[in-house]
Amino acid sequence: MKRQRHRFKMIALFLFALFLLLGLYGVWSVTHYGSRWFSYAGNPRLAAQKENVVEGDILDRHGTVLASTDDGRRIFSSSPQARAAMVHVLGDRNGMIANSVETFQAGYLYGYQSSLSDAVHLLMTPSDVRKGNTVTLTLDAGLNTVLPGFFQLHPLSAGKNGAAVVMNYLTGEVLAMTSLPCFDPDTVTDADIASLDHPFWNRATQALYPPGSTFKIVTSAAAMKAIPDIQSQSFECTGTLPVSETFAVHDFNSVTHGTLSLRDAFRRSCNCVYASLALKLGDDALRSAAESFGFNQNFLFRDLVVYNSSYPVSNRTFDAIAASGYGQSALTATPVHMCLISAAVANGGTMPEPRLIRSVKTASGSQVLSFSTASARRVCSDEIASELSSMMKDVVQGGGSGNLADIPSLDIRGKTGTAESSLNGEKINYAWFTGFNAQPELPVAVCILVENIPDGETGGTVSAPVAKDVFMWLKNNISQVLSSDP
Amino acid sequence: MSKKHNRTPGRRLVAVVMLFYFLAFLLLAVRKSSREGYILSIAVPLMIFLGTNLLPHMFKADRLLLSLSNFLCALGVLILYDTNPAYAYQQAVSYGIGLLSMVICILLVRSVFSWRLLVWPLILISLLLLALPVLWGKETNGAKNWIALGPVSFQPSEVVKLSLVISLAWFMSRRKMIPWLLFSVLCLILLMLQKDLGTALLYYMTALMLYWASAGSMIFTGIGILGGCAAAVYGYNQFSHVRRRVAIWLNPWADFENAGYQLVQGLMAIASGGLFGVGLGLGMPTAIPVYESDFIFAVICEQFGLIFGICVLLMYIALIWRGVSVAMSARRSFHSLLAMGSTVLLGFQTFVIIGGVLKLIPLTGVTMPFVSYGGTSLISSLCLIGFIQGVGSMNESDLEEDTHLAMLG
Amino acid sequence: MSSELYEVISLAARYLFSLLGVLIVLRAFLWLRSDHLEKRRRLRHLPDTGMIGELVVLDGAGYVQDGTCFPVPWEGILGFVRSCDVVVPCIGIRKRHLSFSFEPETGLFIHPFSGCEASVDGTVLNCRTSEKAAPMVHGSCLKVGPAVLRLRIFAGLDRNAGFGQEAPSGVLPSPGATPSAPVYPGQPAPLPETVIPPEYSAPAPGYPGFPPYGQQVLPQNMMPPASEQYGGRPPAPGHISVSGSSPAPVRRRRSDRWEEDDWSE
Repeated sequence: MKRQRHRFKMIALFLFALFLLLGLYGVWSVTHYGSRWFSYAGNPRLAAQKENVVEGDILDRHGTVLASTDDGRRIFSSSPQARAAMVHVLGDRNGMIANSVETFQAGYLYGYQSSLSDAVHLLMTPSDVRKGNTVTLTLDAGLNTVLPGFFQLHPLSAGKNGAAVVMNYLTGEVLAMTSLPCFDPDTVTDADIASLDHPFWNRATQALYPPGSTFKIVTSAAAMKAIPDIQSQSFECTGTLPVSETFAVHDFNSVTHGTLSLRDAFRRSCNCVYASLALKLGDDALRSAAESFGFNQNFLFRDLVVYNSSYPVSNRTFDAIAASGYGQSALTATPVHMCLISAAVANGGTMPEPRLIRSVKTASGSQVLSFSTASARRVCSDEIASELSSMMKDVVQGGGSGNLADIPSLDIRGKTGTAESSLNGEKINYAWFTGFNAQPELPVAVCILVENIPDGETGGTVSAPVAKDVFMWLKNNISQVLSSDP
Repeated sequence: MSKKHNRTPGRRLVAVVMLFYFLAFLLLAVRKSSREGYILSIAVPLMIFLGTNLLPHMFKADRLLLSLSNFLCALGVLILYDTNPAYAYQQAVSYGIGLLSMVICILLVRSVFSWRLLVWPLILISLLLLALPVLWGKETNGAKNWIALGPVSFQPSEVVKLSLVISLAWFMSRRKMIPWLLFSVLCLILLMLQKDLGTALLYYMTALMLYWASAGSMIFTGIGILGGCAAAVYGYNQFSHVRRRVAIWLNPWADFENAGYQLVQGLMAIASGGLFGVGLGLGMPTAIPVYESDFIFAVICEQFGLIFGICVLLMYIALIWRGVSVAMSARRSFHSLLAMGSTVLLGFQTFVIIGGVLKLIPLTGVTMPFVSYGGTSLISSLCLIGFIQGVGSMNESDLEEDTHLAMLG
Repeated sequence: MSSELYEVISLAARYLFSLLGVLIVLRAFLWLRSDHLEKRRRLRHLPDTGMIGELVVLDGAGYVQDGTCFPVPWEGILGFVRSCDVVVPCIGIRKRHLSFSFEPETGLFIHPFSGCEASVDGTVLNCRTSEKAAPMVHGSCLKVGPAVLRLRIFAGLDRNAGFGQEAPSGVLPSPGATPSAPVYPGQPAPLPETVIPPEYSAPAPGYPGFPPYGQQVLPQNMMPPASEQYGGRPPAPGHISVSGSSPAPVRRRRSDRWEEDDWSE
């Protein structure tokens, strides 16, 4: 009986452990994923709420109305360019764009999470119409409206698909986000939709591309961490680096760079040097640096749904490892993530959380949600970040590949990238530019991605000019951009 | 003196429970403006009061077990009244029958002298009952484990649970391995034929744990565990609906419209509840398919909030704790195994269903012990509590005898 | 009732319901705790509760001191390891040697495990023959391994009708047979002479000074006077000491708490 009692105690402990697991898992999953479950399209509660409640307004950071409801119909901005530029962020009329503000924040817009005080107020002031909450976004409508236009200004990027993200790297606020092809939700027809290439994708947050040479930021960070005196070493580039029998690394246009320091290799974006660095560091070191920069992490941002970037963890051949050094092989990232990487470098090694919502207020004016400081993660040390920052300065201002983004009165730093990939068996190139302005009075980070560029063109020739337009606009409208309606 | 000491924490608990149901039913009655609601708001607390205070006067029933199980049963009635009043009335009737059966079970445990005469007929009847659905059963939700007898339909696997616990305890306390092993294996096979895999899992776990506790040869326990894993793998490969359930568990959003619909709706409901719930009578609990039996925990979390859901979990833990302590104080291994078997059965069933609702483990077809709508399930859970209380009352009697004798000497 | 008003009331009520739920849980756990403390308090005054008697060592074969008393519960296991209910640490006794169970009005039934043997009053039992064997009664001698133990059943148990206790023929047990000598509950009944096997000519054992399990001593008015012959304290269980008294049972280290090794079965 004694042994039986002893075993009963152990069985009881086992059952308690099971229940504890249950409780902890329940609390954890609801707090982390609850809002995502709730905002899923098929939630009948929202549908029912929509019957009774008029959807609230969506404003930009200055109070410009981006979407409102009039007599049961949803009205977007009055200008067609604004509507088209922001359709992926806000959402279209039929909810076809996944995780746009209209669907993801439907809980706020329809006033689902009403508090007691709100219900009391509603009781006190009876009216026929219940209105949902007003959501103020961090976007700047002016910048967002002209953003697609910058793509069309340059012949190399005109008519191409792509994405652009502009954010404040100190606070994490997203100032503008657009995805091309875009369409005007009010006037678009089915024929238009059919003729466009995946028009409902938000390529800024929910499309994955190989980062190309922009990944050299991460490789450099890994190298500086593992080899502290790497800036004093010199590398030899002969235009081609054989890795195995089947694969040899080439530089763009098979240029030979000669003897380079790490800084030079970064400035000229030399693939051979970075491939050899990747092989020297080893896959584990490179992967752990990538993971600290956010690859393979589960992005659970509060305001945005961003697909996870990935750095492959298995089946790594030497070819693949070498190619990862300059951002090829099976690496993928979203434009938002690359913008966050720039923001992290600008911020001294701290990557902010991207925020889209500035505040949420009830129809009567009381505050439901206000902007709180973004949570941040540390991706690299201060010293490495400042080293990277100065290397990125060379790329733009020191005659590197990003010189087309340079504006003399600003301090623009960045990295270009040209990623090769294949789509349906055909070769396709992507042009990247990710960078930031190092001046504290205009703390913005930008990422531009252009799809399907012609052979011979690079991120520096295609994306950098678009980025320059963005920075120029920001410089001319600097006071307006940074202010906001409280 | 000891009685008074025990009464005060009990009185306060019962008072809070009564207050809870009074307010809750009142609120619902106000919303529905129905007279039945007002009647219920008086009747249910009264029933709880009688239930927890009347029975202990008849024999030494365990008042904590009574209070908690009454609370949970009334919670089921409340939720059902909120969503579907017809179910609520049926549930209340089953609740009454369940209380009666609980009393019968308590008396059974206390006064049966020769279990040996009962056990063998019990086994035969149980096997017969389990075989019935295989022959002419009603199929619901992919499992063919209901029998319809005119207007009443019941689940034999719930009834067989009781005789399983009794026979396991009996044969294990007599150290005769073959009869209970044979019985368990036959039950498991019959359940597999009915495709009631959730109940099969429960039976298996109870038998395994009771075996380990009583005889506890590590070798055989290991063989049992391996056998269970092998059966799980075999079931996965063999049955398509097992594969479907595991796929839904891994990613219910992949097939949101059809297979994963139930789980996704449940998760949405829990998420919309937040910490304190959307409020009793508000929200949309009826959007979840089978909200009345399997997913009633999701409804509780939606209406009352996550905090209350955790409280319900803790109440089950308190029940288990009490059951285990009753089992540990028993003098004869038959009684202690009986109490422990009932406790393990209830506890594991709760874990399995709440785990399925929260997406911790794949969904199975079991119901939540006291709360779910389902007459047979409610009655059998109350009977298991009756077993535990019977053993507890015997412990109490023994202890009082000894105290009495000690004081005489 | 307007739906807005109901919404307000319901939203306010949800905090109340959560609070009540938390209160109920708290009270339940406090109740559990107070019951636990209460039970401990009661058991402290009843050290022999749950025991039907004692096995007194007549011949410890040098491993156990003669006269050691082992309390015997209703059901249990006798063996070498500490996880047994009656721990007889003699070489020759298996880790789990035999299981016993008590039937009121009948006696203590002995079931040796497979491969083990014991003899009750001269009859050798093994796992097959134990089914039909006669039970041990008050005064029976049990020989396990090299040790000889005599059973002493507490007198109150013969009179105890009990609830739900099993009688062999299913008939209600009649209030017990009257013993030959006046017996007070709690005191051991005097042993009938005829039961003692001739080779064991030990005198009637008295009550040694201290029960071996570190339990609290019975109040003085319940304890018969200690006998000189088996003086000193028996060794703490698990210790194989040949010499006389040993120190008070020390707090066991965790490593030697349970010696559970079922591979031998």
